Amino acid sequence: MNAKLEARREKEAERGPTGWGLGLRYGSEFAGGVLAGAGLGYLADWAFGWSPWGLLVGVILGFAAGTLNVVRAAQSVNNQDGAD
Amino acid sequence: MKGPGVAEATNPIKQFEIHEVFELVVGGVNLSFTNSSYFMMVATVMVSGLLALAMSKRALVPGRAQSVAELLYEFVAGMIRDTAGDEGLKFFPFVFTLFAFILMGNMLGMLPYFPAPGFHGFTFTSHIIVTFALSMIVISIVVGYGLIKNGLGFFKLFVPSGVPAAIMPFVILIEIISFISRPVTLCVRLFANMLAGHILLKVFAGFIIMLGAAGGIYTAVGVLPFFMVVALTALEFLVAFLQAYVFAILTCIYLGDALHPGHH
Repeated sequence: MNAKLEARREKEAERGPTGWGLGLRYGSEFAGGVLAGAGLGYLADWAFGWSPWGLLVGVILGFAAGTLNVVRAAQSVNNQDGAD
Repeated sequence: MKGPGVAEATNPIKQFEIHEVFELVVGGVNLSFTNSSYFMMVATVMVSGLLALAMSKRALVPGRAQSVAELLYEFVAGMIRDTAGDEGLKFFPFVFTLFAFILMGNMLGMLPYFPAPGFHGFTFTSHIIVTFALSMIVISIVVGYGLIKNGLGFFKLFVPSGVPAAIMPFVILIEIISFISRPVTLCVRLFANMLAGHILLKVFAGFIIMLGAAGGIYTAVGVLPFFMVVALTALEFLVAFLQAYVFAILTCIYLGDALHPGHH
């Protein structure tokens, strides 16, 4: 029984995530980073009157954070494929 | 039957409309019970009811219904153990509730017609305000529990090791933005998947009606989108399960960060 379960798990791990799901995952990770950065920048503009610099810097930092998110997501996907 | 009749019948956005079932205004705030609330209530009642029914016998050798309930339990428990460790199991009730609620909501959305007020199927997870509220609950628990358990050590989450001091403030800022983007991605992913899938399904279903109404050779061509709809329906069932799973597993990963900040 356990051996059978183990074999099934391996098969499932091999199949991996679908391309559509993976694309949407990376896309939303990146968009989320940019949106959060832009939101924070806009908030800083509104609170401290830095307009337009808060939004500009915020979008660029958000871009960096989004890239970081995508790199982390890709790492976790690759680890899943390799380890299990 | 051309003109506004067909356009009205095949409108792919109509399924997302909110109707008030009965009005309720408290202090100028509209708290009406809508079809969205109705489906959430149905989901909650069905999850609790089905699980209670399945576990009512408490047999040592489980029957069919009890096996499914135990499978669901094992599935979520395994998911938490794999991502957040054994310590994460104290969040089991929360993650299980979240998973069951979203899964039931997605599955109820797959019914094209439901004996609901307004008589059209409705998926509450295809509204971003619902998924946003769910993801805010998750992130509040992560931040709240992380601060209570680790105190200021929780903020080590934002300080990666092995970074030169010169660019440290810059990196911390990026890490903070990355953390804030988590609830955003969490809610957008569930919402976007359900919205896009249901619109796609309805657009292809609309093609059948339009081609059928056009008559002649077009009616024969109308069989093609029909097969597409059959295939898409199967895909949507997969997506409905997968998105509930993704939401739950990301919740586990974030809870794992709250339990052990500083190493990911």
